[in-house]
Amino acid sequence: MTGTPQIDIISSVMEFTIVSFLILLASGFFVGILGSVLGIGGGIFLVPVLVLYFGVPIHQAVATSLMAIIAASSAVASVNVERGLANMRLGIFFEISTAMGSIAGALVSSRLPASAVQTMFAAVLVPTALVMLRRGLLKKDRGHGQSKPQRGEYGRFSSSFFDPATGSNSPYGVKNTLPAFVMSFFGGSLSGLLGIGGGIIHVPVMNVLCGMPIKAAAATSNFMLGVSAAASAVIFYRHGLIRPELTAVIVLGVLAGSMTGVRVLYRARGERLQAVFGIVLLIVAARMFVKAAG
Amino acid sequence: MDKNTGQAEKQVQKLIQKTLVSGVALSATLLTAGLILVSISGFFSSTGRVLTDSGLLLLLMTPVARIAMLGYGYCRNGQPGFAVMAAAVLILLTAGFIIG
Repeated sequence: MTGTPQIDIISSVMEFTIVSFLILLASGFFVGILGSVLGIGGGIFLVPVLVLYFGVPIHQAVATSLMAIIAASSAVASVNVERGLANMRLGIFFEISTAMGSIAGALVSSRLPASAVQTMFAAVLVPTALVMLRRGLLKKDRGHGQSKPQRGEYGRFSSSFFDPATGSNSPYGVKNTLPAFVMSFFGGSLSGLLGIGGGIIHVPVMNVLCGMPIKAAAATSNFMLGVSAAASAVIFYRHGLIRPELTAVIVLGVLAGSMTGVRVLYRARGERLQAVFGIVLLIVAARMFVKAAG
Repeated sequence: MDKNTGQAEKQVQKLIQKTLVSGVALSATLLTAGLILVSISGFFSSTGRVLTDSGLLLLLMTPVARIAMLGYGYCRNGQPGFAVMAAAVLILLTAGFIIG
């Protein structure tokens, strides 16, 4: 696939073809679905599509991805907050370290050569793909020692939500908040460095380390992603790396996908989607390594 | 979470939900209008570009507004600890913009 002609296509709306417009819209839609169902930002899919298929320079792809993450996070959070799925008190606590990581990541990324960012991105894709494949092959959310609500230190962030899968209210406590706070810094730094939301870190940390149910972890992660993406996006915006028309088309697709996906999340599990997505990511990682080396 | 805290949390949830829906809806409207205008009158349609840029800027500011509202909501409901956390995130975002 040649890069240069496709850069021309997206650098000018006059040269937007119907096909490229529809592919961008569909990519945004898929990212929106991912964000709402899996609690990840979707940049892990969007950045490779922009770089490998459309030939967009990696830094602009990262900036576009961050805007898409903000759109997905804001649209999904508006529903999840109302349902009580997103734990806002825990979210605002973790957002402190996430924002710090995100700013640090963006400052480093904007100064790195494109090949270095592409290599790092491909290196992150491989373990992410394997984790998704593994989770996708597991039939059920095993709870990972789901915490009961507690008083005192851990009880401060305890919450509950109505789970339609069980037809009852699911109360839960939150443990290990300080180690998770530190881990959130790394989630944020991925956002700024590579344009991926950081949900690939936030969701397992909240599920496994904090003992939150997977649905609450995914919803809280999504709630936080908008802030970590905004923290880095403002830096990319100042560097003039956001392409308005390209970003606008993707954002509209993301918003449509998010509103569709948020209804799926509430009723269904995303194991099958995770398994398929894991295989796709492994292929994408191989292509990113080849592009970075070439 | 006791009953009073639960009620307070519900109020904050409503405030945040309204903030996010307003930001997303307005941004989507501006982006759609901007893209239509640019498509009709070409790349140099200044009105279309202004609308698209405004839509993106508004989208960028939506999480920031959400944090500000979260801080306001928790402050109003007597949970100053969480309001301070929200203020800390706002300060970090401002610092990022200045040093970036």
